[in-house]
Amino acid sequence: MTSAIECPRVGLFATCIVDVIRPRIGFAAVKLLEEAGCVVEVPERQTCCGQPAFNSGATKQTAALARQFIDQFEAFDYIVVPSGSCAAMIKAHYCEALADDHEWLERATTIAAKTWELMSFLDEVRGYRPVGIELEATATYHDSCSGLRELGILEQPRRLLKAVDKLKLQPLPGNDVCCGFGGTFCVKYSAISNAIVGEKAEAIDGTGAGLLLGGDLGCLMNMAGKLSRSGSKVRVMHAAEVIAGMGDGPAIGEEE
Amino acid sequence: MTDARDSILQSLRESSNTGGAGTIGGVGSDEIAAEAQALLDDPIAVRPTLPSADIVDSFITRARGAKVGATVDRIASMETLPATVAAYLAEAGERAQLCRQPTPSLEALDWAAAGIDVRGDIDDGAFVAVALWGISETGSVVVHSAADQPILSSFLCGVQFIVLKAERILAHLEDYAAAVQGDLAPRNACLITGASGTTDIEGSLVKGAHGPRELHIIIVGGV
Amino acid sequence: MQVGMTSFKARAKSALADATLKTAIDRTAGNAETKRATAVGEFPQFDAARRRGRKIKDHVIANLEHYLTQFERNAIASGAKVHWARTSQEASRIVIDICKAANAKSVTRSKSMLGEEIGLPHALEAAGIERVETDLAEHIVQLADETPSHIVWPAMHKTREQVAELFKSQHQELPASDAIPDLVESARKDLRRKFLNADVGISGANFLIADTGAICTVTNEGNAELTTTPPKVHIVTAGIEKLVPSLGHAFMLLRLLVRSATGGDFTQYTTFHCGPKRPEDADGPEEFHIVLVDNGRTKMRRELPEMLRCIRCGACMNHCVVYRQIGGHAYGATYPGPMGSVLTPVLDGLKQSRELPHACTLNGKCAEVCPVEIPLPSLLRGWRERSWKEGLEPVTVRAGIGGWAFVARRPGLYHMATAIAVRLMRLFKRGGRIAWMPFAGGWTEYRDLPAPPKKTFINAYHASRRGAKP
Repeated sequence: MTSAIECPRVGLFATCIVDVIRPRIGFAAVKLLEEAGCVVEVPERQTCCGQPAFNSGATKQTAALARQFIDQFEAFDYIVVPSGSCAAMIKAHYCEALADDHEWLERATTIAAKTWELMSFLDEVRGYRPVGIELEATATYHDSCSGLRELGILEQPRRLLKAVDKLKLQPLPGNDVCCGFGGTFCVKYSAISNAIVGEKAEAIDGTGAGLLLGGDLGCLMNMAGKLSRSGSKVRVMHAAEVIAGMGDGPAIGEEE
Repeated sequence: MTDARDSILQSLRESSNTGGAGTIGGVGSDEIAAEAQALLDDPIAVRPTLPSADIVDSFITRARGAKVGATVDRIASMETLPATVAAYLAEAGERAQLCRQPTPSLEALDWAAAGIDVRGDIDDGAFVAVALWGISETGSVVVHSAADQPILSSFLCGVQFIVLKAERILAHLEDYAAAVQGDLAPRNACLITGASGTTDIEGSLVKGAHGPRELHIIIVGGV
Repeated sequence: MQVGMTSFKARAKSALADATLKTAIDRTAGNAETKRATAVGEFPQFDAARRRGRKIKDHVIANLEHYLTQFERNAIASGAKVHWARTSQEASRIVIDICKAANAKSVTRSKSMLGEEIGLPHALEAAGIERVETDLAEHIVQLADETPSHIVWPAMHKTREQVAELFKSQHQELPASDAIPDLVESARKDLRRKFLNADVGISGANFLIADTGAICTVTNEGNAELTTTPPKVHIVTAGIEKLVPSLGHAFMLLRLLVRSATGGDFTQYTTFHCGPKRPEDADGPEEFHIVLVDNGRTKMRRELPEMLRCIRCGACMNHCVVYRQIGGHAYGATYPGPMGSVLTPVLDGLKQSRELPHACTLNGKCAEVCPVEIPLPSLLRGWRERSWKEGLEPVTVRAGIGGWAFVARRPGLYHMATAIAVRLMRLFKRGGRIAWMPFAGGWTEYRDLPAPPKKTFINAYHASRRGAKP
């Protein structure tokens, strides 16, 4: 427990795809953060961190979205995001997008220091472990690239998942190899992306696990979509859902 | 192409003053030399450790290791070199023929007594030369071009014998750099680290790509 | 250069359809990946070494003028003739002129990516000079009349079966079988004669040593020495970024280069060449020429200085998920993979090659394995930014990203739009999935899309909060 604040005010940034595609991850995040002793707020006017614009080279548009985000979130003690790549966008890249704007650069630097990916926040800042959560399943874990390489997220989700009773974790060969999602890459170069995720799906199937977990919905959607299209029975969920005790619900692509 | 030279150097001078990443403008030669020297500091932090405390043992471990793939013999003195070479050739099923580096220490030996026919032409046959240094870190032997050291012979032979005096074995690559520092650089300084190999077809290692198929190092003395 | 002949996407598509290509790439790149991991694992100082390597390169790049002139001075003192070339055309013309002055009929070449960059193979052919590629992979590429598909393994795209076919149809000494050792033996016999009959030998340089004027070549085959020793003339072509202050600095970088490239600890033949044959020497070339090539490097020093650190190890492409699927030729440029996608816009122009920086998932693996810490994903993103600014991005992309960003900056409008999007998407759902939907073909052609629930998170969360607190 490295936190100096007893009941920090946390702004939850759900991310644009969680907002639309899988609200369950947002609810799981709220539940976990509250259990970890935080006062959670979900700013109603939040939209997107700007990552698609940034990675497309549209820096002006990115800067505008970054300013909007900073305005909405800078009052919180912490900003928590259930996605490694969106958290990395705020932590690592807002400063690049606002490099030419002195005043906003300072605000971006401040916000970067208090922005966390959900599982690393729970583990490192709050020292949180789930209690009395159970899921009888064998799961494997894919490490999404941004979280892994830009934020050093590797052991944090595994430490949390180990505290889930009856859950067995099976190593995934090539767990740190990109799944081929890459944001807009997966639609711009869909054939290449398909070849990459095809290999990933084979590796996942090869583990014999019934459940694939990860920390980034974009990557999880890519892998879940490929797995289901190729007839695999592997179910896919965000790790936060399992840790929050929502692992018995519908997986990605299953009817609610 | 003086024009090209001037324009390239001019362009570098101009961009030195922009202060972009990786550029620092207007630094004098002494400062550059000091900075370059500092980049060589603390070599222990940036180089591999030797497999053993003994430099010769380390050299042998590295040279015999899978990555270098040389064979190594140790003999007490030069007199037994022809017999050692003859034994290797017999064992390898090669003819008892050899081309040798035209240097007095090899020419003085009695090769005929060991049953070896010393020949002038080398193509694909055996060749013996004396190395100037050995380097334990990499299992390399070093030859320099000279009047008595034709470079081509080391690359045209099929079986390469390198004679290495135990006291000429250095620990690390930096020790070799220090040993030649200030000397006039030879036309060719070759660090030979195994036989000629290729992985160009499917990444599969094959020895004898163009040059030697085998490298046999004979360490003399220090036994 | 194949850029412009077909589109990147078309080349990638045909590469994806080629199962043999995938087999060939996986055999070699997979091998290289494993060997590198082992070599780095056995060298716990690797991280410290690469920080040092990066500093050495940055120091040289910052003081390039100093080191170039120092190198030139020492090279001339050793008897070398130093030439300077601003462009690829200038560089290949200098080489051809030296060959012509030497009355060269046959030229041997030891693999050099710079030679490919400046179009030397083509220039030699155009000048009617026989060109003999001596690196085994380059020899294969030459027989197949292709270009290299990888900077360390130019024939990575070929399986042993394909190599056997080439050798059987074109070697005088036919291979005894399709086994790789027999193929290598067949090439050995074919090339040996040619080494000894060449009039000029051309090599690249892995390093230029400023304080001695020597150049360094590294090979495992020994073809560099066989290329440069027998002919009367040795020509070196080298990019101006290849400088290092001294031998000691070269060794520090060599430790990184070899482990990152092949997973070895040291190349079999690491040779420093300094000037022509001395009067007392037993052998060696009578003339030694060094062509120092800019070709965009001074410009890179202003705009992309980090890229001048590159020591051409190829680790970024071996570890690139995109390269591993499509191979090198699909990039349509001299340098493929992540480093190539940064370099090609410099060499060929961004307009020609704007697709390359986009054909990347920005997963960061290339930067993780780079032995000199080049931030390749940032540099690739930098090209995307430039392409956007210069208006080179297609109208559809600009409109799509621009329109979406416009809406995302207006939260009220945005949440109305997401609510509508959810309703529309649900029209196409079957069970929990969407297998096809208009405007989502890029996704649904290959994968299912999860159907969204009725309410977005923001709506559902705030609705429940309002419900809980009447």
